[in-house]
Amino acid sequence: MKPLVSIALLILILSFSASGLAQVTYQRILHAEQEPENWLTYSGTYDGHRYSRLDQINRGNVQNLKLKWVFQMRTLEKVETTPLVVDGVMYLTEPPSNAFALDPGTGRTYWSYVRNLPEVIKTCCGRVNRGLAILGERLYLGTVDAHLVALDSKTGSPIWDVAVADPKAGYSITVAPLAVKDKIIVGISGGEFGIRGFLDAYDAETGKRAWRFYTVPGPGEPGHETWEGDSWKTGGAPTWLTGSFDPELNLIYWGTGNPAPDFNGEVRKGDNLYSDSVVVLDADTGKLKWYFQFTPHDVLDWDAAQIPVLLDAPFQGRPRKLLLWPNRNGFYYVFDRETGELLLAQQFGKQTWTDGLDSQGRPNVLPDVLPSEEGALVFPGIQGAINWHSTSYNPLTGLLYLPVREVPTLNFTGDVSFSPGDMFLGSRWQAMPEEPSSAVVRAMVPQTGEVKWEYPLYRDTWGGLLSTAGNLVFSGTLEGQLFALDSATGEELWHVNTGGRVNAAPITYLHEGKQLVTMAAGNALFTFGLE
Amino acid sequence: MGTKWITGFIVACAALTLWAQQEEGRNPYTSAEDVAAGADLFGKRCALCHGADGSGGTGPDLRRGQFRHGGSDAGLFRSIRFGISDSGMPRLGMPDERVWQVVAHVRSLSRSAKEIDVPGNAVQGKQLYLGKGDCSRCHTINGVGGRLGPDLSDIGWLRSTRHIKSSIIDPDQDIDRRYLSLHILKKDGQAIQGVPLNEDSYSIQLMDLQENLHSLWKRDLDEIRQEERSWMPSYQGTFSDSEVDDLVSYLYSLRRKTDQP
Ligand code: HEC
Ligand code: HEC
Repeated sequence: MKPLVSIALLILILSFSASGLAQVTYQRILHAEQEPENWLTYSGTYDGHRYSRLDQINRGNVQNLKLKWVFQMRTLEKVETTPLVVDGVMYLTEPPSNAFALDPGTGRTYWSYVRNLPEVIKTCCGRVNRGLAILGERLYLGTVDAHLVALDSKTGSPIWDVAVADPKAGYSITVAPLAVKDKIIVGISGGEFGIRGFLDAYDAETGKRAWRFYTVPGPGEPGHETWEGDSWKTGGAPTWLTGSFDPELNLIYWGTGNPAPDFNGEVRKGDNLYSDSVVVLDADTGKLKWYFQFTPHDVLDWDAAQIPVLLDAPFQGRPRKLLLWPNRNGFYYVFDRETGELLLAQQFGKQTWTDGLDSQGRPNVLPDVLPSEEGALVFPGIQGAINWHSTSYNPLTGLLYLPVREVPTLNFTGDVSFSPGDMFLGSRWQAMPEEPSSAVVRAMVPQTGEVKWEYPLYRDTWGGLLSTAGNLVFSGTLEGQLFALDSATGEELWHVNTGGRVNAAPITYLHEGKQLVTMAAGNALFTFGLE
Repeated sequence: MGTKWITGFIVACAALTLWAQQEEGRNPYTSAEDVAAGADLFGKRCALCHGADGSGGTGPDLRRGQFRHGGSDAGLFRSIRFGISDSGMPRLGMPDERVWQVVAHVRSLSRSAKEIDVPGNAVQGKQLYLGKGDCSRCHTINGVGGRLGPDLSDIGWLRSTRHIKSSIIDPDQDIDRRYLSLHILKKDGQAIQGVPLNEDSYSIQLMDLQENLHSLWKRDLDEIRQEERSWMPSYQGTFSDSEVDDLVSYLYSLRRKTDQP
């Protein structure tokens, strides 16, 4: 680093380190890439890149990473959280719906918010939580009893607490909310309970709902005709993974989950819009600008719960505003994110369910792969060729990094009847022990899908990725190893065994001028730094 | 043989009814003896915080018949059986039957609002709170105010009028030990005063009087001193008796509602 730059950086750090004087304004989140000492929003920046400009830790010294501290959580749930770091304080969630502020120097807490939950909570896949949003001096937490809570960032004291939906009917919140301008955008979980999905925006100041977009259109709304009879009422299409935001277009990009019931499509004939789709909404009004459905009439639980990656880059020689989307169904899609034009759709993971997509991206589904009474084997299995785990785009290499999974499942169909608050699946699936799962971390040219390198993993992965200007890609494995790869070659440079499965994505930031990397594994949060 | 069978049947039926009631969350122990047994337990285990007559202390007045953590039999059972996490209400480790008896007693405490007299004028109390008292310098209500003292947004749920009153006129008498005033002297000569947040063998975390968060290594400190008082000044003599009543009446009215879907 040039001395002048480092002095400027030092002043910047000093001016923020007396924790909390500066408010997290919308302007700061908008330019989050310019303050890499912090981690201000779920994916680091609004464009979903999960990339950091920090380079103190780099491919020359990453093998010297040392454990700084471990934060043990009081839970046996999966830890899927992405912490935030703001002006010297880390904010994180602990499952089911608790929040902490801690000091990144020691790992010791300043405060905790422990939520009292009703006895009965309905979640499909654990009472999990993926993180917080921050705006001004407030943190925003979604809870598994389907409330949105504003907490004071200095004390953890609740300021307001609004009911988003009815937890008894199978609604819950696991998503990290997204702060956009003066609103908090929050999605809903419950696709396995026959909820009617939606995406909500709340006034950050008062907690008053500003808009709601139903991901299952009601009578009279376009798309309603894609649901037979009353099936829309229990149509699912949850919104459980944080979306991205384009401030110039003023558009929010958000993925939607599976239609309900998951495996029996007989009771919901039609395409089932807007399940398994990307919905593109006006940030101020929640009005639908465009959408694309990846898997029409899905019966394999292929949620489009992936992080939307927004990239301004030349495409076939022309500068374009792109939206990149590797989907759970095994295909990789590139859109013009302003118009919705599909620019590229190609297979990226092993798949056996279609012999191809038409020019509009619509798949031709093969006959023998759908759930049946005897069970039908399909690649990807219901957990997808990629699931919800963060990808990372690195502007220095121009590559998109993604975890690619190769795991089949055997899927059965069966009868289904709806009763509010009960699982609404329409049968079951099973893993195939004789078909071992595998996965790779892949580096890919986003415009073409060309594979630059692959780093093989022993088993399928549930870890997200982070890439940095230190030419590194960080992630973790099912068996609990955290690792760092060379972002140009995929060469493994560092790994450490934490002993607990990785279910989250790493972040990086500065503390007192030194770069740290934090990732969750098992039921704890691990933080590493140099020397 | 026959009678045995019938007895067995009756026992089974009784067990089933009991089970059905518990499933629905209705209290199966509501006889006069149960209430009396519950009262006895209440005196031993609960009076310390809720007052012998249930009118409250550092814990809430249980006579109001309003319970924010659930007022059904099942809700009361849950609060008493498991405690309320992250609050002053502990898990007391009583067997289920005893808990139900206490629930029966707590129910019997309910009085009408008229019978629970809160003197003072809440509207004037609010003016004193914001004006002459300048209480919002250290306390937050619904997101507005300072942070050196406890958030008072739900104080009416948490505490009795008696406790609120003594907090104002004699704050050091029943001090919340999480707020003991903290004085730190660093080896570099800097002094920091504030409210403690966390501590271990090697480090200490606090909020200073300007509300900045600090985490300090003990190796960098010369002195850590906690006083047997909090930063809350005594308002004895500042307010007239009726003004104190007004303040208490205002604070006691602060009870946020749980938002329902
Ligand atoms: C150490 C003090 C303490 C003791 C002992 C204690 N409580 Fe509490 N209790 C509290 C406090 C403080 C609260 C308020 C908690 C809150 O609302 O966050 C509370 C809340 C409650 C509530 C819930 C009130 C509501 O609004 O839902 C009930 C019921 C209750 N206590 C009953 C009991 C009973 C019965 C006992 C004895 C078996 C008992 N408590 C012992 C301090 C105590
Ligand atoms: C300089 C800061 C400060 C000021 C000003 C202040 N307080 Fe406090 N207050 C505290 C602290 C710290 C505590 C917690 C420790 C204790 O119990 O004394 C507290 C405790 C309380 C409590 C008990 C809260 C509980 O949960 O039990 C009440 C009630 C209260 N204050 C009311 C007031 C009122 C009314 C005023 C204005 C007339 C006021 N305070 C002014 C700092 C302050």
